[in-house]
Amino acid sequence: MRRISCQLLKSVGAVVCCLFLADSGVTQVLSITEVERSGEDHPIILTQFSRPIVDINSSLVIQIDRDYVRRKAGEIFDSRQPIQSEELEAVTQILAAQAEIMGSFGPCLRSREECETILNSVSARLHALFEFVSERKGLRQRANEIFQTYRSPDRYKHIFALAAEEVERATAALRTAVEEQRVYFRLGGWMRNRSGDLRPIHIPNFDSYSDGEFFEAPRFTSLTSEELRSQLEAAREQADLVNQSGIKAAEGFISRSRVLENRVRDVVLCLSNLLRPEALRALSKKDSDILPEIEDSVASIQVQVQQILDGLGELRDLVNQLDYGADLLVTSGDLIIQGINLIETLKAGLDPLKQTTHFTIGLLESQKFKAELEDDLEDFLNEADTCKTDLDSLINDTATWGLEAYGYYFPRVYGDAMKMALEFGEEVKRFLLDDIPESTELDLRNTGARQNGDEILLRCALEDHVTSSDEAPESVELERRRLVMYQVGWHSTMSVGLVFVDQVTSDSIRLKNTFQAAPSCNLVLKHGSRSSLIYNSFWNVGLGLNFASPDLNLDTTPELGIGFVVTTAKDNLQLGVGRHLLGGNAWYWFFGVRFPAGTISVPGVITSDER
Amino acid sequence: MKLERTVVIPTDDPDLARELFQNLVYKEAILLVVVLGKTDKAKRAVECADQCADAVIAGFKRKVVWIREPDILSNELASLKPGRQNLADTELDRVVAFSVSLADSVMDIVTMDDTIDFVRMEMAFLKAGEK
Repeated sequence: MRRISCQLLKSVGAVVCCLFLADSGVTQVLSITEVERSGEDHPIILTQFSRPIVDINSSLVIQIDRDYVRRKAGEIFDSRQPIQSEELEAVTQILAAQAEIMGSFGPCLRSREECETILNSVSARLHALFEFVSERKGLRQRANEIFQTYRSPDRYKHIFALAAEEVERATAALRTAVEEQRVYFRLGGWMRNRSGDLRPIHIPNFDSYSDGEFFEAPRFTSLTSEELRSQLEAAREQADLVNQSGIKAAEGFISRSRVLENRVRDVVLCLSNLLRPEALRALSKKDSDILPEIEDSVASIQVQVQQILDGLGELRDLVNQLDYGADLLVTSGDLIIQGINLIETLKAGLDPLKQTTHFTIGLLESQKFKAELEDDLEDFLNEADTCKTDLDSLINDTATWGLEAYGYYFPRVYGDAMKMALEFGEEVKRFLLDDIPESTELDLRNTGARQNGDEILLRCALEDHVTSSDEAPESVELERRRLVMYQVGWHSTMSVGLVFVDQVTSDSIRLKNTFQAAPSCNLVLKHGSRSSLIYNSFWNVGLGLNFASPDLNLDTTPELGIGFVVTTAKDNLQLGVGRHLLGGNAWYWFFGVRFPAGTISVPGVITSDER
Repeated sequence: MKLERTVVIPTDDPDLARELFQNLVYKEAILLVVVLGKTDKAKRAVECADQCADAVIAGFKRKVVWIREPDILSNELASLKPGRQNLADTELDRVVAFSVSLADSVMDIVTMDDTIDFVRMEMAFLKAGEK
C-alpha cells in the first residue's frame, strides 16, 4: 500500500513538475540527476526561477536530449540542413544492379509469370533511373542525344554511364555541402564562487580541460590548532576591549554605517543640484521663441530628467528610512540591493542625458542665446560627471561592505547568472548532431576547492560551421542551468567568536558589567537542506557544544566554561547555557551576536533565568 | 517520318480502326504507347516512342499506336481500364499519349504540359511494364 502511495505521489509530482515546466516555458535539453556518495540519486527539477541545491560532494549525471537538439537544430538552421541523400542512394543501388538489368533485355526463356515479374522489376528500376536523369536539365539533353545515337540495348548502357557520372558528381557535391552546413553542439560548465569569480570546469567527454584538484568537503570539520589559537587570541583581544569600553567598542561599526549614509545623502544632493541648472530651466521654457528648432531635443531632455527625478524620489525615501538608523543600511540586504539598483538606474540615465544635452548645444550654434546657455550646460555636464563618480564610488563601497558582512552578491558584483556571457573556451568540444554523447557524469569532487554557496553553471548551444578562422560562428544558446552547492544532510562546523555571559547561579562573584564578553569556540552539528536555499544561506541552525573562557571571578585569569549552544543565521546569533568549571554551582547563560561589520560584537538584550 | 514500330490507325474506316485498336490493346501481349491527334507534339511523341519501341525487356515487345483522329475511337478510349492513371481524369484534348500495360490498363499519361522527348516516352513505356 505504501509503495503504491509512493508511486502515486511520484506520478502526481511528475505531472505537477511537467505542468510547471510547461507553464514556465522551460525546455529541457539537459536532464540532471544528482548521485550522492551513498549511491542514492535525486533527479533535479529545473525551473527558470530557482537554483536547485546539490550536495557539494555529489556527482551529477547529465543526460542530453539528442532528439530535441536535432529538432531544434532543424528549426534554427532549417535552410542549411544537409540536402537529402536518399535519392542518390537509391540511384546508386540501381547502378549496382546494371548487369542484372542489362541481362533482362531480349527474349525471356522462363515462364510467362516469371518474365512478367522480371519486366516489372526492371521497368520500375529503369523508370527511377530515367526520373533521376529527367530532373536534371543537362543530363536529360545528353540522354536524348544517346537515344538518337544508339539503339537498344546499347543506349541503356550509355544511360547507366551517364547516371553513374552524375551520381559521382552529386555525391562529391553533397559531401562538400554537408561539410559546409555542419551544425555543432557544445556543452560547457563553469564554477562560480561567492566572490563572483568564474572558472571553467571539466565535463567528461565534452571538453579537453583537466580535472580540478580533487577536493572533498569534509563532513565533520575542525580548525587546526594554529587556527584555533590565533582566532581565540583575536577574540580575547576583542573581549577585553568590549569589557573595558562597553558599547563604545561598536563605534567603528556605527561610524562606518553613518559614513555610508552620508555618502548616499551626498549623491542625492548632487543629483538634486544637477537637475536644477539654469540651462535646463531655460531649455524647458517652451513658450520662449529661442528654441523652435530644438523642440524635440528639449522634449527628450525633459523626459530623461523626469525619469531621473522619479528615481531620485525613491532614493530620498531610502535615505529617510536610514534616518531611523544607519545600521538599517547594513542589516537589511534587501534595502542595500534596492539602493544599489536605484543608483545603477540613476547612473545609467545620466549618459543619455549628457548625450542629448551635447546634441542640443550643437543645435544651438546658430542661436543668439547660445553663449548664454552654453556655460550653464557645460556646468551641468561637469556636475553630471561628478555625480557619476560619486555613484560609482558609493556602489563599490556598499557592495564591498555587503559582501564582506553578509556574503550577499549584489548586482554589481554578482551580475545575473542567467544573463552572464558564458563563453565557450576552445577546449569545449564541438559535436556533430549525430555524435553527441548521450550522457556524462560530473564528479563535483574533481572540480577543485569549493565552498557552500558556490555555483555550478551549465550552458549548451548550437553553432554553425565556419570555413574561415576570421569568421565567428553563429551560436544559438539552447539552455543554461545553475546549481548551487551546499553540504546537504548532517555535518559539523567549528567557529570562534565572542559570547556575552551573564552568571545566573553564583552568589559570591559580582560581574563588572551585566554581560561579560568572552572568547568562545562552537562545535555544532547542522543539517543542510536539499530544498531550501534560504535555510542553507540564512537560517542554518546548528546545535552543539560551546567552549568559552569568561573571567567570571574577575581575577584577570580566564576560566574555562562548557555549555550547549544553538546557533542560527550563519552562526551570527548564538544562545546557550554553560557551566563554569571554577567549581561550585556556577551556571551561566550566554549569547552571541555577530554584527555584519565583521569582527566586532556588541551586547544585546537577553532574559536570564535564575536556577 | 520513318516509323518502324508504329501502327497508324486509319481515319477513313472506323470499323477497321476499332478492330486494329482492340487487337493491339486486348489480344497482343505487348507494351503499348498510344499517341492521340495530329498536333506537332503528337508527331514528336510518335517519332520518339517509335524509336524507344525497339527495346525488348524480358521478352516483351513494345509498339506504338497512333490515333490521328481520336474521335473515331472515343468509345474504346473511354472504356479503357484505369491502372496507375485514369484516362477519364484528364480531358482528351490535353492528352498527347498514354501507355497501356500487359493487363490492358492505362499506366501513364503524357499531357500537353509535358516535355515531349525520348526520355519522356521511354518513361511511359517503362511505366507500362510495371504491374
